[in-house]
Amino acid sequence: MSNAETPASVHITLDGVEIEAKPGELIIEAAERAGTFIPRFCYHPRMRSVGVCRMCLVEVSGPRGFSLQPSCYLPVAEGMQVVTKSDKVKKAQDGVLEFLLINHPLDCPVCDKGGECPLQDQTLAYGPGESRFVEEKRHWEKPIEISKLVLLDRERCIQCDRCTRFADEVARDAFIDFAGRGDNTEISTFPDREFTSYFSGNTVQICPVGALTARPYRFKARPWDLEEAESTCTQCSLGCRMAVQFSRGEVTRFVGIDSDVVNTSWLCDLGRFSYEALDSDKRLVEPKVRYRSEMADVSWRDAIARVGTHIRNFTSGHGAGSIAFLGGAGFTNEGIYSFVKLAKTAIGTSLFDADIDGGVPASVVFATPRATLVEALEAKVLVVASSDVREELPVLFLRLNEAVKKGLRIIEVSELETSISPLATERLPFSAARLAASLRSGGAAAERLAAAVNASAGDAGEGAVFLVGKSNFADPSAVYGSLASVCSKKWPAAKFLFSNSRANIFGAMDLGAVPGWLPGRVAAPASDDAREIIARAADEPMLLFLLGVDPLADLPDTALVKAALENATVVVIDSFENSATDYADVILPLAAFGESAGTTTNFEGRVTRLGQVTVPKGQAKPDYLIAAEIAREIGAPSGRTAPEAIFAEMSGELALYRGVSYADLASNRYPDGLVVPLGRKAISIGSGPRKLDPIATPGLIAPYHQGPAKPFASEEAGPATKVDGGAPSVSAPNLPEFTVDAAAVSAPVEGRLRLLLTRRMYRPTPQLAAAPILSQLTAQAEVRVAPATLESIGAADGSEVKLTGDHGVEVLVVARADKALPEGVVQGRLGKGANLLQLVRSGSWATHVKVGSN
Amino acid sequence: MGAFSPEMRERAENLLTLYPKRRSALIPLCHLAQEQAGHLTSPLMEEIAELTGVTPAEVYGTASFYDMLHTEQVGKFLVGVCTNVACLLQGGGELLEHAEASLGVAAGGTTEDEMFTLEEVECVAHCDKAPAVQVNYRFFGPLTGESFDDLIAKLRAGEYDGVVPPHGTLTRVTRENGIEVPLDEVLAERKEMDRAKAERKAAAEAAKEGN
Repeated sequence: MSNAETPASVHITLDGVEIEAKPGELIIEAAERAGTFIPRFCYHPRMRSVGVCRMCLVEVSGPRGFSLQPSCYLPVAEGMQVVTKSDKVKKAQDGVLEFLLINHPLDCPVCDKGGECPLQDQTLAYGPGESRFVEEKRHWEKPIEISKLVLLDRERCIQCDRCTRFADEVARDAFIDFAGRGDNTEISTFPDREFTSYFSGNTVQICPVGALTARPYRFKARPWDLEEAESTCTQCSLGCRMAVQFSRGEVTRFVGIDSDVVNTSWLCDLGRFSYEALDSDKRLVEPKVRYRSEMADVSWRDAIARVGTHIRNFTSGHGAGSIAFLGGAGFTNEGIYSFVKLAKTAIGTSLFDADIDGGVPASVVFATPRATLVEALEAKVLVVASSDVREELPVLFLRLNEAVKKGLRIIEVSELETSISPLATERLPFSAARLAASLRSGGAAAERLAAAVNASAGDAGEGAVFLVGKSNFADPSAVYGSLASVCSKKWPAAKFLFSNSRANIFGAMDLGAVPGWLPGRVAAPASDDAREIIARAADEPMLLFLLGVDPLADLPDTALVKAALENATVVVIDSFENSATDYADVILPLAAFGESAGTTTNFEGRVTRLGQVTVPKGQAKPDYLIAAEIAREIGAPSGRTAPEAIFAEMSGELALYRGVSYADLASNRYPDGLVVPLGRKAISIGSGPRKLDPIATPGLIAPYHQGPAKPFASEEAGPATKVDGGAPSVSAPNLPEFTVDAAAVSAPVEGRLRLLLTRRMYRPTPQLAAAPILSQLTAQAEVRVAPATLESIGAADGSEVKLTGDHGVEVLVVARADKALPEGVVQGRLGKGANLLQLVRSGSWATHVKVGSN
Repeated sequence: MGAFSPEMRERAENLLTLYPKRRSALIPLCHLAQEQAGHLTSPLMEEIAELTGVTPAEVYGTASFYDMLHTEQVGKFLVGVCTNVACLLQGGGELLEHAEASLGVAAGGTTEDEMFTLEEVECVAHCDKAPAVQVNYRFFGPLTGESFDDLIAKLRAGEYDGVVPPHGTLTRVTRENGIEVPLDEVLAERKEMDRAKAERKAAAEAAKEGN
């Protein structure tokens, strides 16, 4: 295979021992694989090398003998001799460290980084031991706030360029840069502007000194007091791997873990700082029951008894079909499975909808071949017809940005410009409905997409990946189901990913928590979805279980939702106070992140373990326990009460999970979990024990994959039987048909603009509201309109306008002029301050609004 | 409305076409902004960022690196007193002290009437006229305390208006305040230098023979 130009490997001599290295590899990487650590500060395996800190100098042979070269910048070459330990190298390291420490304040005792600081550690290991510097050090104002989350102490900075490189090349948010020159160099934002990146926490994570600190963690703990457990972030369905660090029963920090297949050590700020809410006083911590008009704290026994009474009364009075479960996408797989069993077996209702956002329907998700994230990044062409990736699945944006640099072609289908637009090779400015209609019956949109896809992936779409998701939250989900469905018909070899973004929505689909499905992707007769359930509840007596959702915030047609909540008997099972708790008859406090063990499933179908690091706050209980207690109360066969036992039942009963055991998911063989159903190469899916780089991610405690913490209550269940002879049989259902009234979706309405609703990362959620610092960043609602439209109604940029919906609802909201908007549409960005969802009427194909001056 | 005046905006857009990559025009655009406003204001830096496709922080980072780009308001005249070796030996340090006292600001400061900003500068390649002073990159020297005050008075009175344009103006730097040296004077000086050189050579040879 190898030829003279591209050898399979090159040989270098490292400290007198010949080792093999990959061509083009940097010396520092080759040495590290061979077990020789070279000290470094600026080098980071996930970023471009810059060679600025000079800490990694080694002696390298050249035509004029040995010379000192930065090993993080020089690629290996055949026959190269490298010396990492010699008097000359030691002298260089001494010198570099002495220089780095000249202006470093050495305030380690009061520095958050002290104890996990690469500068501290490497000074001890490689430094000269003494400084000859007796002069006055350079002084800067001590920490300055460069954003609500990040503080900068310029005295501690060693100018390694890690944060600025991250902001520029990884996050594409170069809102910080070096300013000044020489010994006055500082990291700086633009004057009077903040470092408003969604990913700013990563700069704190990779800072090799204590220059960047995060406000939520400052002075909370010392590194040596922290313990950690591996877990998965549950703020969106990407499922970033992270270490949950805790001290004395309190979660103190999340640190991203370098997982090749998911998040390459990055987290978004929403995920990273979401722990802030865990200890908030907005947590629901006591079971409550309504007595007359007041909610009163009661014991779990009384609360469960009340729930049992309701279930019995509704079943006997109105039939099991009067009981419905909404939400659950934030629960663990074990919790969802227990609730689905409770609903569909013990109670006997089919009304269960976890997909409260009305995203791409499960029937399409199951019927299309699913890609993994890595397949999407390495695809011949990636078609993105989705909500703005940076807003919905933030870290996916970072991965796509990285993949585009390596040559990924992205074709974006979007009416609006999104964060993906600058990355895309081509943007097709069509709505999902128009594209779907065009693919079905021919048209310009379909031709352009076909030309772009076929050029890379051929007529069958071999190697093409589609990322489909709800780009307009005013649309019904059938539009997106239809789009994915016709794309899969046209390109049968293409694979799909879906950007439904609630944390465990794909686990909820797999476990039958959506209309028309039973656990294990088994089809059931169609039943009402969340919108239809709400519409019914407004008219007839119903018992509504709200599983970690707030229908007032998440469902359209607010007036109808309000009527439904007032009319129905509501049981809230949630961790945080929200607007629906006002309507509750019973409130059952739910254990939050880190307080319960279990598993979660990401958008690829990857099942990973959640780490339990502390006991639930107050009286809160894990989801699966609440389901089991309700089941016992109504006399159903007692459900299992430990996550490992529930998972064992799932993998025993459901073909989907066959071959996967709870213990395997935490083992060193599968540090990134397993994608279900297991493929033919089931046993080789995992990437083996993971070695983590403590200099790249200084906060990590364990240098190896360590798995989630041991559950508090019970022992691990034994391994499940392995799959023998190939894949478990989970047959994909046929592609469903959707009827979409394309004309109704795109037909213009005289005097009105079509409303496109989009969400942002910091959308108001009960958890965000409970986070003291993060909540300051909550997005404000606004509409964006073409400048001409704004002018025509005589409103100024930034002033309030009045939107009038199809059914007469009026909303006052701030309007901004946006040149990039196409004609005839108005973009509504959901947020705090105005409820734009109430403009949408359930069941209508498109929403039009009149924009008038206030 | 942009921060650049319409005329400057047009010049900026023309500049952008000269470079294969837009961001290469960053520094020329900074000079253009200084010509308009005397220094780089935040709105100007934001507009440059928009024009070159980088973030405002990157424009600020670049602008703050270079001494000839000013991100804070400077006076109409930027007065740089050289204190590098040649000037120092000729009294550059004392001249700077005098300038500070005379203008009433420390090096780096701007006078209250916003006419002068005083700077201490490194060698401005005017060693033959040490101690030298540059005013908006026009050179004066050798200066004494007295002639410095005289220079300042003349600048303030507008006597040098044709020679020393306001700070930021993009024109070629002319030597000797733009005062032309007549060619015959130059030739006469060169002739004198040649003669002196020949004399030295002859003296050296005579000394050698004497040994």
